[in-house]
Amino acid sequence: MGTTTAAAGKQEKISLLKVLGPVHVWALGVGIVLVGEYMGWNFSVAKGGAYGALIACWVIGLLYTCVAMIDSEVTSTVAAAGGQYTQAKHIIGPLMAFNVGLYLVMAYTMLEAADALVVGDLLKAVAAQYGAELDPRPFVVLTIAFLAWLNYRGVFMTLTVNFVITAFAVLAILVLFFSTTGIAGGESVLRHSELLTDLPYGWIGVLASLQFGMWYYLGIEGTCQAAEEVRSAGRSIPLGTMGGMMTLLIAASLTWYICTGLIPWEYLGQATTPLYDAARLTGSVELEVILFIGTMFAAIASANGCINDSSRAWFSMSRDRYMPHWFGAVHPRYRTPYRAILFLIPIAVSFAFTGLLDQVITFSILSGLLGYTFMSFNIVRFRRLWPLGSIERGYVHPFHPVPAIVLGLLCGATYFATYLGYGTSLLSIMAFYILVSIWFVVRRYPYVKRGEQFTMPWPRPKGY
Amino acid sequence: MDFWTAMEYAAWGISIVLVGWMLVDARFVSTTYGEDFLLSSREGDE
Repeated sequence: MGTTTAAAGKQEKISLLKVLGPVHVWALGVGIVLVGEYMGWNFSVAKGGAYGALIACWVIGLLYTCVAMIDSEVTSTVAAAGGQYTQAKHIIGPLMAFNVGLYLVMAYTMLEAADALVVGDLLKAVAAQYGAELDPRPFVVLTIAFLAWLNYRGVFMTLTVNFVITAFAVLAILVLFFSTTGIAGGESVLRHSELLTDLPYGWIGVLASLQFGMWYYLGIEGTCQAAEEVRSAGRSIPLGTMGGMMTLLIAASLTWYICTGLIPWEYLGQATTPLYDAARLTGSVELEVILFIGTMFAAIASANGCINDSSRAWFSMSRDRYMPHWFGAVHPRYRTPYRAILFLIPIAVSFAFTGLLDQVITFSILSGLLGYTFMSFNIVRFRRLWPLGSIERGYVHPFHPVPAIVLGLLCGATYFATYLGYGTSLLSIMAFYILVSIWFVVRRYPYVKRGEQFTMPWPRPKGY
Repeated sequence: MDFWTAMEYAAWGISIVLVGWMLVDARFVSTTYGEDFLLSSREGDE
């Protein structure tokens, strides 16, 4: 190796750094998701009315609770970067793993692009208030470049920053809730008795709203990408994920309660930034500023978490040669998957420069939904091949197989809801994944070192 | 040049510096360390 050996010193192998705790896991999961509370969820109001959106909030909340429970059990056992990709590799097989890995990379990179677009649009709106016309593109690029740089320099600082800005965004929702309800003093400004109506489009509207109900929670499953970098995966992942899910259920319900009490459903269903709009309607400048910063921080935290997760998924696939092995490198100083982080920058910028926010988000949601569908049968197979007691689990989720069945049924209902509004996108993305699967089987799989990819010290599966 | 135009140029400039820094660092790492070492991470290793 020449200079390599000398530079590398005595250390012959390198790995990602194990420095994270439950708080970082929480910051990763909630950070990715919380932007959905600040914008996007309200499109479910346009489909199903205010009550329809509340039903979607709780039904999809149930879907994600199942996701979090299942994910916590499997990840506490398969503690490696790559999350669901690694799970699929060990439990189902290579083709499923390739698809799941790609779902993750696509879902997070597209969500990152959408978050950066939001930051650019918010700054454009601020400039417009001062009578100036701002080009959002340099700020979209700056958001992606700065967050990629942060991720490049180390996971601990990245997720510590995410914790601070995510906590602020959560607190902003709480401040708005206490201010508008009058709990903090003064009279309540909420007018639910005047603004809430029956279901405007009946139960089919409620079904259609399920697609946008995913915005409340989309990305919480990303916590398991941190599995290889937490000090104790068996403790941190379940604690951070389930704590994150509880935070989101509360934040989602509060968001719905505040917004439907201030904005008529016809307007709420079309608002770009509903929580910020709700703050403006209170007439309080302080609340307006807090919620603007909250919206900005939520978008930045989401993009930050997405870079973390997409790079880990790409890194893991490359390490197993599902993608070119070159991307599986770890930075010797910062101990991050630096080539994967760098490679995904132009991809995210390209998605962002299309400017097609709704299409980018729809493709992200559909990629996520395909991943959740995989989880429902993955856990059934996991329990069948390695029953309780056969391997050590950091967490065992209760009532198996009820969460798996509920998850599968709710995914089916959400596919139908998506088909109602975005049938072409659904069919396009299915076609895309079928085509890349053929490419993987024909061209890529021969490069995979099949024996090396199974790394868990588990006994032979039951029945084999 | 007004304030907002200056902000746009500043955003482009900082972005170029950040991405440039990462590219230079990645190049430095690749020339200083061997590929076998950089690619030595294994899933499940402690």
